[in-house]
Amino acid sequence: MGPIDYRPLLDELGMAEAEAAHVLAAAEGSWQRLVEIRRSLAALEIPRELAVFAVGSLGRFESSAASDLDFAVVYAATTLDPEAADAARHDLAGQLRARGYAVLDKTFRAPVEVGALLGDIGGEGDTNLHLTYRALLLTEGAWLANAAAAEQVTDAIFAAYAQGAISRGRYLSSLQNDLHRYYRTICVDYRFKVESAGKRWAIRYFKLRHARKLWHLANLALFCQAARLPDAERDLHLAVELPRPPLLRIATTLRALDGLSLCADLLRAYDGFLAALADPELRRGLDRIDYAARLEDPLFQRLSAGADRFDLAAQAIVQHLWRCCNDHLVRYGLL
Amino acid sequence: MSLVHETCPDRQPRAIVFDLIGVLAAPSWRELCGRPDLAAWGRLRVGAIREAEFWSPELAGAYRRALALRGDRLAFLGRLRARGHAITIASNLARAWLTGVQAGVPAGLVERWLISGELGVAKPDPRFWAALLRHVPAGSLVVDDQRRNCEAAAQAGLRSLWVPSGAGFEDRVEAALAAG
Repeated sequence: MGPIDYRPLLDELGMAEAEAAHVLAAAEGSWQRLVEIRRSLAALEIPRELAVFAVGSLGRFESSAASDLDFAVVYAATTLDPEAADAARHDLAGQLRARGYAVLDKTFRAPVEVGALLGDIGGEGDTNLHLTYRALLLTEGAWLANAAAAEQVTDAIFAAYAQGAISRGRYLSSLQNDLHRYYRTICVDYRFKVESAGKRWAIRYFKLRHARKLWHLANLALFCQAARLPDAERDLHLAVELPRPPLLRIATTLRALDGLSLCADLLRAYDGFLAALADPELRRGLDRIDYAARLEDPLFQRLSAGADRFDLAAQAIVQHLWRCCNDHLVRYGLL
Repeated sequence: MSLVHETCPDRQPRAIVFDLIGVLAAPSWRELCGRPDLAAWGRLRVGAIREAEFWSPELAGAYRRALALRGDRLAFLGRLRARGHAITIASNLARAWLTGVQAGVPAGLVERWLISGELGVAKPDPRFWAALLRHVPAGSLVVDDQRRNCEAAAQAGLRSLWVPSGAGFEDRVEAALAAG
């Protein structure tokens, strides 16, 4: 995937660049960060078989200088042993930290074996971690090192659903359901993080109300539109569109469904969210909001109002999908 | 029935033409550039400028280290070769990058390389396909990730398969061969 440019979409919508200045800046900044990391990692001795991805805001082209770097490492046990993968991941994290990137050892702190991601989808051995890898690599995995190995991994993940002889469903509902499942998982994960793990709640709350919801809406919309395509074209359409940023996935869908103008309010509302996340002082302000006193907090009030505008724009899109793709939305999105 | 044939399965074209970047190998040079200069690429890919005029030595080195063939695709090509298909690679590629790519391909796997940097003309230009048709029969299958290349190949008398994503790649190639 090359640089992401929202300007043609803004032109189509009759929007000025200033109305989506932070969406544009995040896309441009993310591309420059990706390129810088790729160039620096190309100088290192990384095993060729190790697929290295950016996920999170960088992979969605929504990052800012204030964003953490989430990077995921995937390997195949047939070509690399776990110790070598682990050592390479450790070196990579060190190199990235040395270059000033805020690499946190959280969800993606260890390399994952691709067979483990794919061998037990939906089974007892399937975990939140594996679900997270599958969902994010398919929808926001941008390669950082070993592009060829990374493509191979994402193709294998898609194929794990598409080649299910019995379970895939005509509309590839097995994949659709797993993406829905991931969205619900991160919604519940919020409960654990703030109630049990003592994590800061406000930034997670607003990410849930914007970035996570946008991601989910993009998947719902894409699968609704894909259901209207001829069977022979559906998988290819999904595979091409899924890695694109959520706003562009939604735009592609709405363009095909004669509802593109509905993107304008969504873009404006999302721009306000990205503006907030790009402001380090505002992020610190979010960390200081006391939950019990949130309703009186001016920052909370401001971001909540933005989230409400985002909700209204998202609701208008869902209502459009309801009119255009009622059967699919009810049968596969709700029931 | 064995999958290994001395000749191709019945009715399937012997020659198959694969694009390189985005089909068999990755990444594109664009993915290492903050601001990809498409005009300069238009000159480099037909050998009108040298690589040193295109980008810095640091970037040239980084791209050589980043560019790699996909293991799963090489394995697929191996199976096609074992069935008697002749593999041609036809790519818009700078001449300077060819040696590094060829070093990653097992001996005897690829019968012919047609590279825009050597031909002096690039896809989708009809002259590129004319050059290809001096080596493969009309009606041969061309597999490419760019739609306009596929359209141009079809206009030149080749059959084309557009593969904008890796989804179902092998099945799609096999189906196209079977339909030939």
